[in-house]
Amino acid sequence: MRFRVSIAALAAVAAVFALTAEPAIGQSAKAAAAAKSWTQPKTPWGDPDLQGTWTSDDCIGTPLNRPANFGERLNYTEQELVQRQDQLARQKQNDLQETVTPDQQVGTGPPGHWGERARRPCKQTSLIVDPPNGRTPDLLPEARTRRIPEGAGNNTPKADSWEDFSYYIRCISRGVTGSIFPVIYGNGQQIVQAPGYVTILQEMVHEARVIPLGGRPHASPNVRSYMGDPRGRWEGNTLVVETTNFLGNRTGIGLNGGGTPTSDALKLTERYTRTGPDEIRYEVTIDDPKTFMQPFKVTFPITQETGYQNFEYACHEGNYAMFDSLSGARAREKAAAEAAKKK
Amino acid sequence: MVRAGDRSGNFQTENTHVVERFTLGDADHINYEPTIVDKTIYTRPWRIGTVFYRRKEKNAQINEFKCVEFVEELIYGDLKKK
Repeated sequence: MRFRVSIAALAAVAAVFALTAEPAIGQSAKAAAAAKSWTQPKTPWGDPDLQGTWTSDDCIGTPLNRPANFGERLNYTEQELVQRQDQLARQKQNDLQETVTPDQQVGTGPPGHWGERARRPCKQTSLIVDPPNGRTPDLLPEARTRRIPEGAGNNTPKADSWEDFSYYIRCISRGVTGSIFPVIYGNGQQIVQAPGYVTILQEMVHEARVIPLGGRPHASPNVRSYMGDPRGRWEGNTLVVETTNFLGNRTGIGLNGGGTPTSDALKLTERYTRTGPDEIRYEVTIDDPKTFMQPFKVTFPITQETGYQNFEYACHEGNYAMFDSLSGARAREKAAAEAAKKK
Repeated sequence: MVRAGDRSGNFQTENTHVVERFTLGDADHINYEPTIVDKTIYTRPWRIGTVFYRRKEKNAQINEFKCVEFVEELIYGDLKKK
């Protein structure tokens, strides 16, 4: 009984939330007012200053592809935003409970509070903003034949080898877009600037994107990598990063680098625009003429949050899913072989 | 827990305290001197001294390091379908 949450305690918690949870509308008006009085700070050498640790947490759960019922509507209505704000408050309240109530059905996943949560509702119905239907453009015929690995959206999984699994499951890479698109944890982006360079240290896979600024040519097309070869420039206060020289057939544009793998012709154009003290508007145009019928664009905010920092990424020690999937598949084959022998 | 601290077989534990000193010797050299203190495994503090050289090649840049694909056979090899 000690852990069961009483009605009185629930009411008290709800009352606290009623006092502390500002409606979405009030908050956005306040943010707009703060942004108005704010001017873009500069580094001592005169570049726009984007430094800090940022996270895409606020759009956790927002689908990459817009659900069909929203049609060409990108933004939630104010009323829908209030509902989403209420959802976040309820989620936060559930996260406070350390144990489940008796007889409640539980899965094998960790408790909800182990993941990261949005702090305010994402205003968008999808991460894709262009084309206007908010959906990934059609694949070219050749791209449809590319194998999607297990753990990246494959519906007919096999576990013959580790190579059947996604590069994310293998702790190798999520690609550039997969490393910033919001997922349930590991969304941190630490931006550090120096004269001639911007470096983005990413929490997941501890990728460090060292981005030279100012017209330096891309590496030879013979030099290719998972994260590509980025080059940056300033357009006003916006950091524009063009990345090419990707390895083909590795990660996709889905969350965690899932989906159909992109080709070696992939070119990403990212735009980082600081819109206030604690928010950057992130935008990326995905152009892969060997994979998609047309380029498309994804946008979402990344924010700076009190106390938020990148954690160390140590994927292999805990990557039991790989051992378990492979050994489980082998055990199943062995059992099937023995059963066949008995017949 | 005692773990391998480096590729030379030296150890480190959760008690290991490292102070690294990066000193510019001249425009293109950094003297790198880490001091390692861990009373639970070493009888006294010890120090490493080495020099970092600036890469002077035009357009020198650090390449991507993706090690995993080269060690998966070692980690999971016995679990692969024969």
